[in-house]
Amino acid sequence: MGTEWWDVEELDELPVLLELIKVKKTYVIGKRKLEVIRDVSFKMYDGEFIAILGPSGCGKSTLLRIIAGLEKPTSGQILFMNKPIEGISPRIAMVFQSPALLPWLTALENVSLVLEARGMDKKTSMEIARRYLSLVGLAGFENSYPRELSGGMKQRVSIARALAVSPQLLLLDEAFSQLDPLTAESLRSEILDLWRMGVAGIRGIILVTHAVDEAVFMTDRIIVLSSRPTTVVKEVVIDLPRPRNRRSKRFLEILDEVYEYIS
Amino acid sequence: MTGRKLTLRSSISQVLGLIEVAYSSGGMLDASEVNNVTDVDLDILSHVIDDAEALGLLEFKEGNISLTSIGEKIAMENPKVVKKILRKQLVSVEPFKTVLKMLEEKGEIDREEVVDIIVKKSNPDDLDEAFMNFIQWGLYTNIFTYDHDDEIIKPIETGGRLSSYRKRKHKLTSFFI
Repeated sequence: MGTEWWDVEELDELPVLLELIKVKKTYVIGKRKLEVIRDVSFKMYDGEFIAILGPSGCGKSTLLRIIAGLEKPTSGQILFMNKPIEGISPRIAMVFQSPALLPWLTALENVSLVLEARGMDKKTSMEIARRYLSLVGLAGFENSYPRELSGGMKQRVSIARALAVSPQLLLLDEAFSQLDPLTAESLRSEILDLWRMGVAGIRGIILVTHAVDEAVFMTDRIIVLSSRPTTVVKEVVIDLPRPRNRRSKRFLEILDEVYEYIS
Repeated sequence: MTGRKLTLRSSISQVLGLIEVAYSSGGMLDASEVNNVTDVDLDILSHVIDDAEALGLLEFKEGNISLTSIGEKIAMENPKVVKKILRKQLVSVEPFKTVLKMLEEKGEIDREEVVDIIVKKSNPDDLDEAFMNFIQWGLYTNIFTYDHDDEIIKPIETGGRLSSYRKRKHKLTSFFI
């Protein structure tokens, strides 16, 4: 997993992991209708790390929640591995902006809880939780409570919690936006390392962000969304090998290109 | 590394984040560029630079940051190797150097004793933050364990934990193999 990069033409030859077909979302508030998402369609291929990029409030997090099965689209269809998503799927995990850990549980217990909730026995769930905490650099912090962890470490626990259920698709909803900038950079690098090492059997990652640099630095392709009601403005393939150099000419060209589409 | 100390005003993640920013910018950049790329608060950045420099991960001269060979390794290696490298660097930097010496002598030490050392060696403004950062550095690099309930620090020996005073005769180096 975590293949380097592809040419645009090569994408169509890869198996499709996720497909959104004319997804629409409209909220009804009293007598008013608020159209948030309008006919969004795109494909995500097996082994891809993509970004959904758009201005704040454009509906990109709503789109991610629909993909996660947390919300239903008003119309349209979402296929995951060629089957429609109907509700929450055990093969899809999500990391939110805020870690949302239970403060009375240790880091280990916070991770193992999701496994126990899926029917796993306590001993096995603890072993798996320990393994995933170690994977995100938190070996030694198993017995720490959330109040004893920094913001970055709490977010690592939430990443371990997401990975522990062995998802095939990992959704990152502005997962770095509430961290201080350097901690966010460290965590981005760790996610990329996990992705490149192919751990946890993840077949695809979707990052929702409004940070252009983050999207270009991390992902294989960017789906650029318009402001509300959101539509797909452009798909930009990031034809850069990893690790990426932010000062390279091509990196800066892609940044400029993406900024043009969102402005 | 003689005489070097951590400010304990920055976290491991911030130090590693700075190394990643520098690496993804070609290994060399000036502090204002870091600010441009990450929008990090300059007050925080100065402490992060100090700590990264104390650990030998970068050199900071006339406003320019350049990664050392150790810093480059940190950026390229997997987390397991990163921990090993950081552990090797940390043991010769205060306040870890003094704390580890005391651990070797006493087998275990409590929060108050650690705080005393932190005050003497790093003189931080915020003691709680400094203690938290100290614990996080130590746990991350597997230098010691920390009992959150009793607030006791104990060293880690390869293959198992040194859980009592009777094991105190172990050489300090055995903690870091």
